[in-house]
Amino acid sequence: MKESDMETGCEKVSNDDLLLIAYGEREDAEILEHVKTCPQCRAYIEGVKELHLLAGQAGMYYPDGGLALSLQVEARRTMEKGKTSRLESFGERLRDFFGESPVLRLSPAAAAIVVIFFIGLYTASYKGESRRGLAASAVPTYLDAGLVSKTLADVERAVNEEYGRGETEEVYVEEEFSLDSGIDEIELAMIDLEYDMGLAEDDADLDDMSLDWYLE
Amino acid sequence: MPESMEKYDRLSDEELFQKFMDGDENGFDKLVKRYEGPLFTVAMRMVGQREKARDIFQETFMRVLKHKDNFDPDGKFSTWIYAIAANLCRDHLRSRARSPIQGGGTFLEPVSNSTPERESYLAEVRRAVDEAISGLPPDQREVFVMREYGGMSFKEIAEATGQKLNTVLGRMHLAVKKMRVSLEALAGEEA
Repeated sequence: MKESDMETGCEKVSNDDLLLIAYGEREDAEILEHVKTCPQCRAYIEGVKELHLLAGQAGMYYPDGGLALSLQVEARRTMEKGKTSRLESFGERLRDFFGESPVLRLSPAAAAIVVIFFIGLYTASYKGESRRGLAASAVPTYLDAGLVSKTLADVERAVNEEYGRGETEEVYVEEEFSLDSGIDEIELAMIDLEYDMGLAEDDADLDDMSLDWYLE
Repeated sequence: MPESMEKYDRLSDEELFQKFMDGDENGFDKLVKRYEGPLFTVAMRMVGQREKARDIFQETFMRVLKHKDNFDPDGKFSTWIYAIAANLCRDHLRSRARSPIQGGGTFLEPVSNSTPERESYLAEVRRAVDEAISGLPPDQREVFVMREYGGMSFKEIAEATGQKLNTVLGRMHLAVKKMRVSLEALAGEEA
């Protein structure tokens, strides 16, 4: 193996073409035919292939298993963060809307979840259930029931302004959401709510409706 | 019910990435596994230090996560990820003087049918190849390791490094020339 092997001295075919042929990235019948009869070109290609073999024999390096795992965890965190930020954005808007009520001074995500819950309670009233009764039993344990009760009227007023009292139809939102509730669970319930409130007129509309609808 | 991971094996990189973008974390997991060897090896042989290669590997995927929306769906995932890794390697190389590869990597070689003599030969090949690679100038080293260990075509390397194809081929030619001289003693001596 000599350095001179890598200087083909052939005027018919360039080193670039020989490299492409050696690595199977070019198939040119004319050049291949030439290589068969040109000792310099043949030596060049054989030299490249010999090196390729050695490089392969040198093997691969692998990171420790923990690295891949930490990246997988990070991917999930990123996905969750994306979902949470959407929810937080919704919560921020609600906080702007409601002002500085004690419950909504919680984290934006918590605020969003609490309000979603109350929208459910509000609409559930059409089934003749007691909103305040449901609120008392369904308040997430980490929230102070007194604070929730105090702000319920604000939430009701806001919902009325947003959707118009009396226009909603019977709905079935009886989930007890908490910060541990999955975003899909909340989103699904909200889509149901939209449907039941007549905001989605048919199933085709549902495909386009999600939490994003609230963030527009 | 989660889809069988075998199904993911049949998907292209781009399809896996799209799955991840659609909210399926298994798509990302599979990409990490798929690139674990090639990408880490490219980083390892580019920078020559296991710890630094680990940082680059990790940072590359972190940037993929961070800039996931920037991926061109019509482009190749491999070109994109190697472009990120190559930039990180270059940044690192610019910040320090050349140094030989420091071992400690997990050398993957099938154990079956492997005699002690062959193991010894392969260890010698690895040492010699790593040393020869570390002796290349960074631009030639980059092209060589991307082609040999990243499995990229020269055209893809040109795209990932922002160079013209003939520049890439010229660097490969010089790299091959130097590597063959460095590895002269090993040629034709396979155990």
